[in-house]
Amino acid sequence: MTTNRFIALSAPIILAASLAAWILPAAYAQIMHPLAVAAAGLLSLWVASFYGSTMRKAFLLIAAFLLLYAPTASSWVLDQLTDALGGAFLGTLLAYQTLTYAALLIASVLIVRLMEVRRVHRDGWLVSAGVAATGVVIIINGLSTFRDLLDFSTEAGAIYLTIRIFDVLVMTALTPVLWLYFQNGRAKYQESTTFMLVMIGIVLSLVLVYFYELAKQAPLMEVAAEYQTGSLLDSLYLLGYLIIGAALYAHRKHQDWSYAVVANAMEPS
Amino acid sequence: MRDSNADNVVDQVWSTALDKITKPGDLPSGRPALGDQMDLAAAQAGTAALLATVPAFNKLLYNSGYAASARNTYLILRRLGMPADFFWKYEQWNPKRALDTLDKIVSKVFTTMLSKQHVGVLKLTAADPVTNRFEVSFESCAECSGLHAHDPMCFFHAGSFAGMLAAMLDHEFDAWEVECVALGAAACRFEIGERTDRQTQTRWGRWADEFTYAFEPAARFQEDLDGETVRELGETVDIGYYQMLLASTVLTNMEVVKRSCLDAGRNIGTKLADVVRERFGADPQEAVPAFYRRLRYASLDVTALDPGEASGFRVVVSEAPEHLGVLESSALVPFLSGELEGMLSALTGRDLALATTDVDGHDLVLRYAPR
Repeated sequence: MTTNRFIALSAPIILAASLAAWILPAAYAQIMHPLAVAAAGLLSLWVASFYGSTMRKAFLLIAAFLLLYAPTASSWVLDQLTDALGGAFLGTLLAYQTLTYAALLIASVLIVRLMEVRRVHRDGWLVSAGVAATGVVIIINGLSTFRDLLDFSTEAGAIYLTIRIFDVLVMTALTPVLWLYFQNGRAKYQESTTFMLVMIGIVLSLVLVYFYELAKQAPLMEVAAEYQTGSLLDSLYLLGYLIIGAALYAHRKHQDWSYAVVANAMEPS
Repeated sequence: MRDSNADNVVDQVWSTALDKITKPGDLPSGRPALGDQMDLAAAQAGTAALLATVPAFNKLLYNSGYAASARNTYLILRRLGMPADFFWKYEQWNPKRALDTLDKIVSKVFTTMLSKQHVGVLKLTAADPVTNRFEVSFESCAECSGLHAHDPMCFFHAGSFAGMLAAMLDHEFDAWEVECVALGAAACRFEIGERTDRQTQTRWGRWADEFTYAFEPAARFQEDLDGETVRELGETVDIGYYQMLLASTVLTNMEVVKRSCLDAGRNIGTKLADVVRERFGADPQEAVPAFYRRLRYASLDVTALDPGEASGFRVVVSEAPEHLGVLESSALVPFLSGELEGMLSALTGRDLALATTDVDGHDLVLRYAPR
């Protein structure tokens, strides 16, 4: 196996598994969403053991994010918690989600520092500024729903706005990191392909819903009603989660596979 | 400024060394009569003589080894299919992974290359990605086994190992030798640190600046001709190593070292004349070819230019590593021509000098005449 072959083989499988969430009954997405996120969390722990110092912390925080996020990706778990916690549910969820997203945001900051994004060229910063502007649009676009939610519950409004802001911050923070990869695509020593795929998976899983919202020209509450009902939205979420998992696995195996290629080339033909 | 043509030749020599391992059946031997091995003493003589006589040659040797190794390690690893992100964020790896992974690559690629060329047995013994400090051991070192020194003397290999790590990890490193076979150690041992690190600068500077060496060629060649064992890897080395050493060091610095090579060669040749006379007789036409053939260095045909007067000699050199394969057009012969000049002069008792150097097919034709 080589990394490129793994990516080539897993891409159609990931796509098919994601599209299945649109075609198959809702139960498929309800099972696959938390399962894929939890599996990615465990893979991130596995990757973290490969590193020391800051990169280890970054992957541990990504693992923490994914493992904390996994239960909330299950509508069944959320229903059980609603019944169990009653009126305290939204407040508890707000604290929990803040903790979950804080882990990812701190991981993003560590990654930005590690990747020395000051090496990004001017065009990269222009793209990053464009992404930041899109983030502002995403936040503004959600303000009317936020006001509606405030009438219903302060906690619900706070959860809605907090998650949206966290998502936009992570997307904006990781854009120069991703740009660095494309910028150095022809460099002597390149950025890691598999690491970039992990970052792409994270960004996609966070922001696809907002682009879906913008594309549908519908408020998020309406879009959210499609969640885990066997919709295109479910496919997009699953696509992001599966990309993260597959990329983490490839990132961990990249060196073994690459070494095998070198060792094979050293054997006399 | 470096000569890019010389660098290309150096790269071809390295590439051929890799081909010998990855495509062993595809490469015909360049030396049908002598084979691909030469005596270790013969491969050592040139650099040992220059180390002993030319000030700061040790630094030139180090830098040449570094530059050639850094460039070719990168080329070799890419040619073997290693992706450009293999060592991505190396400084963030955990120490065990750092040591294991580097050791696997070093062992699989460079230990194999060096062992198969009979240059030595390389082993990475320590790696710390946080401080960027490394240690390597090198058993049966071709640069110093059989030689005797007061200071560690393996500058070419120190530079090569630092360059090898520099190419893999995309950092600038320097290596200094802390134990040397020439001082009686079981293996040469090198420490390697980041070039910007103050301790590295101090340790490397002290090693390079305080180095002194005296070469006794007669003793070394007597030992070799007696068949004494000086290392476990055997008493011969692949001509590819000698070509690599010559090309990296002399070819890329030809203008600087040409005169020194001639002088050092002449000096060695003069000192070896007694050994040659004692072992192979006093007739230069018989003894000199027999000596070089015994060393598996080159096939020589020595004839007197004017038999009546014995005024000079015509020497036809075949299969000499410095005039073979990719080096054939590189005019890399100042050391050999100087050595023959000294040896022929001492054997005949006349002061001979190299008069002309010509090429006849694959052979080199040298004419020596009285000064």
